[in-house]
Amino acid sequence: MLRLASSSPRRVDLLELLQVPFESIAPNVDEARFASPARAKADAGARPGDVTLAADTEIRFDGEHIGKPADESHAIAMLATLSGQEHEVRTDVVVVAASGA
Amino acid sequence: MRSRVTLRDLSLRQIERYVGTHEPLDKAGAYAIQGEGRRIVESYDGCLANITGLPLCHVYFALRRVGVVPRERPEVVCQAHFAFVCPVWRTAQRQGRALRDGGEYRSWSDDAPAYSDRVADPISVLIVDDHLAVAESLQALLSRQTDLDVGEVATNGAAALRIAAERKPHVVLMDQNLSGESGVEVASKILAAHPGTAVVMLSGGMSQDELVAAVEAGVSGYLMKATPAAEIVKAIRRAAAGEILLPPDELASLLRLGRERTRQRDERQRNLPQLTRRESEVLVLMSSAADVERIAGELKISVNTARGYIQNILEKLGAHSRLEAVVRATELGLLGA
Repeated sequence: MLRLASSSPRRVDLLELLQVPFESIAPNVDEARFASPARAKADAGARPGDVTLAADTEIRFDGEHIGKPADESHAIAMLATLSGQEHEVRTDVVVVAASGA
Repeated sequence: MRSRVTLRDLSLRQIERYVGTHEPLDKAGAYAIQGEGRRIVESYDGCLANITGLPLCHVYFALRRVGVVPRERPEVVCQAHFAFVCPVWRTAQRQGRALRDGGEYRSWSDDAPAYSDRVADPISVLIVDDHLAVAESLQALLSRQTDLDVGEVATNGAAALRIAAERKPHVVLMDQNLSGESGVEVASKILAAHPGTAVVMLSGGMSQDELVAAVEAGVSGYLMKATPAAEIVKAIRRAAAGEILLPPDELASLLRLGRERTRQRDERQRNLPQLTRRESEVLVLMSSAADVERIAGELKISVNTARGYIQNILEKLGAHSRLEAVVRATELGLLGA
């Protein structure tokens, strides 16, 4: 069984397009602690015999990492900063196929 | 995967309205280019799917490598939504990164550079146009671009297939009308043999039927012959990066139309009039313009019997004349090829 290490409804929707059976899990990973949160999430979700898929999207603006908005006003501030500006979106995908049954 | 995204210059009111209607907010979701979100994005490069938080094409190839999905492309890629979220399908195919083996697990991670800043091999382009002068002027024009590698041009379908097999071009610029041959059909053969190739149709104007056929064949887009040279160059680069050049809503409506046509065709096929063996023989003779006496003579039946068969055929085909019956029968495929 494929495991999607993400509880984002959008990722769930997107993965459903591949028509591969999978279950969505929510690994408890403090993203800020890892250089590659996607890898950390995949590792945390890995189970022998299963394949785990994790992804992490990062936004960089002016060389700065922009995280998730904490609340609505933070989201508004974030979008106001980005308004009319170019920024970089980077998505890492990690697939872990743990061996052993 | 990296993409560069530019947001529109938004007023605070627009932002508040957007945030108020989008829950929950996450990094990608704050402005995901889906539905409403498209309104706040001015432009982007690279892969749209990246911005939606799960580059499906990469995921697909990664899963294929670890055996989770079969090698065949899943049916679902024909759906507009998938094509929309997966514009770098072909690039991903070309870039397919090696799986690292070792330790207790095998992992696949995508940290490929963004397509825009990839110092890649030049994009190899095949020009197919039955007018040699047109093909050669396009060749001269595109050869000025250092990132494009334009080799021998093709002036017919057979040459196009041969060169495509030899050079495996990244992009094929295909004239829609190749003196009698259909550019879409040739494109479809090239795509079947070389799925990694992107085909861009060049035309003086395509009918909706031709557009549907082109989209179903899997072409990346179409350009009018009147398109300025600079636009053609841009389109080639985008197609090489695996982008679909058609606006998503147009692509979706063409694919929907294609599905509808297929359904209607199947429906007609199911409701084909059933002719007896004798009636079929009479029909074949009718199609060779035989008159009733000759039909009777050939089948060794009386003229009246032959008339009876012809009447039956007209009724079954809903035709008012023999000519109309033959035309209808040809349309329905009752007369063979």
